[in-house]
Formats: sequence, structure tokens, C-alpha cells
Amino acid sequence: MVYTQEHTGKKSRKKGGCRGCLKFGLWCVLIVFLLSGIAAALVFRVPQRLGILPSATKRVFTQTPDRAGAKKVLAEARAAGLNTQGISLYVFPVGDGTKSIALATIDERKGFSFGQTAGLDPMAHVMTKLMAGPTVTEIGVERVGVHYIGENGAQFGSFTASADSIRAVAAGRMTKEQFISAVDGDVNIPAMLKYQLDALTKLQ
Amino acid sequence: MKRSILTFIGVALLALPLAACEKSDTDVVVDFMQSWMKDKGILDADGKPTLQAGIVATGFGTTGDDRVDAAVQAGTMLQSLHKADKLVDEAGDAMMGRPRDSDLALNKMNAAIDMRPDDWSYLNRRGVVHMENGNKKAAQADFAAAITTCNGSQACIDRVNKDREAVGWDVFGPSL
Repeated sequence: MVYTQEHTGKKSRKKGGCRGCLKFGLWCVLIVFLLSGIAAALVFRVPQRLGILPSATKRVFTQTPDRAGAKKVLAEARAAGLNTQGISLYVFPVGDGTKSIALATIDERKGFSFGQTAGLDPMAHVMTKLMAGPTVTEIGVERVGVHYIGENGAQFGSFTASADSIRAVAAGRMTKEQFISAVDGDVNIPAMLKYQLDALTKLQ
Repeated sequence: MKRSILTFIGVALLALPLAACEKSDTDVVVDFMQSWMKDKGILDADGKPTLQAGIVATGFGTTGDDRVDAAVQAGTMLQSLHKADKLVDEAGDAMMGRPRDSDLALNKMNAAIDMRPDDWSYLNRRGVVHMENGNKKAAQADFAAAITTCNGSQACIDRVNKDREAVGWDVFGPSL
């Protein structure tokens, strides 16, 4: 009797086994790809960008801004020497409403100028002045954010620091470099590029 | 790929010191941004972009802290808030004008509330406009809705009541 491959269960099982290995391998690769894709999507905030999940802004700033508090904070910053022309300030209660986050938009087109910054970098200067008065403590400001719109109307960057680090740099307990490390933010690189290129073009 | 290369060449330009003799405020901010980018490893010590610059250029990324992320990403929300607040200011102007144009004020308030339906300060102000128009039922509905947005938070309810007194007496005249 001649045994062909069809009759030998061993051989065909072996062949099937290899196919199984290949399938298993492909599934593994697919799962790894899928998991990597999901991880990347979460890191890069794709669901929030697509509107599937609410963004951090929508999750955190759910309450009506404390406009009266913001008015007082801005008046106190002005009294402390900050040029408040071109600055709009909103104070958002967060959590149970006893803490808040102050967000300033600085618009250079509306007449804002840093003026004398007393050796501090521009963000530290603005943030320390915004935290200068007693109202920030009364309304529980725990963080300050600054959004800077340049002379060409582009939003150049957004920076934020905790109230503790702002107080520390104001009191000299933190160096300029340590403060920069404590600042979180986002830079609009295309806007910066355009500004730099325009400046270079003007020079030529 | 071409776009990423262009982005990287562009970011390299950022490392150039600003050549202008007199620095504008934007120049000062750009200098700060460069220091910050170096600190965060987006630019290396020589000012050359690192791989991280590509991620920053896309505008994506997270710090892992919701409140920090929210503060950083709030730019668009703030712009929309400005627009809605402007409508409310215009409504106030219409109410304070001679002659008073309460229909225009109401239209402006409706548009602002469409943009920010949970903003109790807008509901308070529209309530006052209704009050001025003699529409007490609508006014009461808006005042009640303003309290509802607080979801029971006493700190919020206190602010709503304080604000209502302020808009009633200061903005549109003694109406409450």
C-alpha cells in the first residue's frame, strides 16, 4: 500500500500546525498593532479631537466663570504694576467650587506690553502680578494659565503654572530656571515660524 | 514626510537668535518659549530640535493632569467665551440705550445662551431683561434655570444670588 500525504494524518497535521502558527503570529501582530494604535490615539487625544470624548477643557471648566472675582484680581494686578491693557481674565471654579483656575488671554494687538519685568521672564512677570492681591487666596486660585496672542494675531503659546510655584518665584524661593521647569505649556510652532520668517524677511 | 522635514527645518530656524536690535514683546515671548522648549527637551542645548518637536508641532500630547491640560488647551474655549460675552455686553448696551431696545437685547441674550447654555450669569441677565419687559414668568424660569446649573453646589448658588443682585441694580437699573 502506498501512503500519500492524504493518508498520513501526521504529515497533514504538521502542515495544519504550521498554518496555525502563521495564523497565530498574524493575530499577535494584529493585536499588537491594535493596542499600539489605541495607546497612540489616547496619548495624542484623538477621541477628544474627534469629539467622541469630552476634552480636558470641557471636563474641567464646566462651571460658569467667576467674573466678579476676575475683575477684582485684574484690578489688584494693575495696582501691583501690571499693564492690564489687552489682558482679559477669567476665573473658573473647579471641583466643588472652592478652588479655581485663572486664565488670562494677553493680546498684544490690544495694547499689551510687558514693560519692566524686574528680571523675571515675561510669563513669570504676568503670573506673579496676577497672584499679587488677596482675592486669589479668597477665591482659591490654584493655577494660572496665560494664552499669548502676538502682534500678528496668532496665538503663540499657552503656559500654566501652579499658584505655589508662582508664589515661590515671586518670593525668590525659586530661580528663574526652576520656574521654567515648573511651567507646563504648548507652543504654536507654525505661528512662531511664520513670525521668525517674517522678521528675517523684514531684515533683508 | 516632506511636511515633517519642512517642520524640522522650520523649528531649526527657531534656534536662531532674534536678529532685531530692539525686541518687541512678541520677541520677548519667543525668547521665553525657546528657553522653555530647551528645558522640556523639545530643543537641545544648542537649540536644535529633537524628535519631541515633531509631537509638539502637531499640537497633540498630554501632561497627564486634567487641570493642567485644560489650562493649556483653553485657548479656543476662551475665544468662544469672549464672543458670547460680547453679545451680553451688546445686550446690556441695548437695555441702557435711549430708547431702550429690549427686543434686540433679548435676541443678543438668546444667541449668547445658545453658545453657553449652562452659564448662569447669562440666564440671570436674560431674566432681568424679561423682568424689564414685564414678563415675570419668563424671568422666574431663567432665574430658576440659573440655580439649576449649580447642581446643588452652595458656593455656586451663592455666586448666582450675588450676581443677580448685581445685574439687577447695577447693569439694568433697580429692577429686582
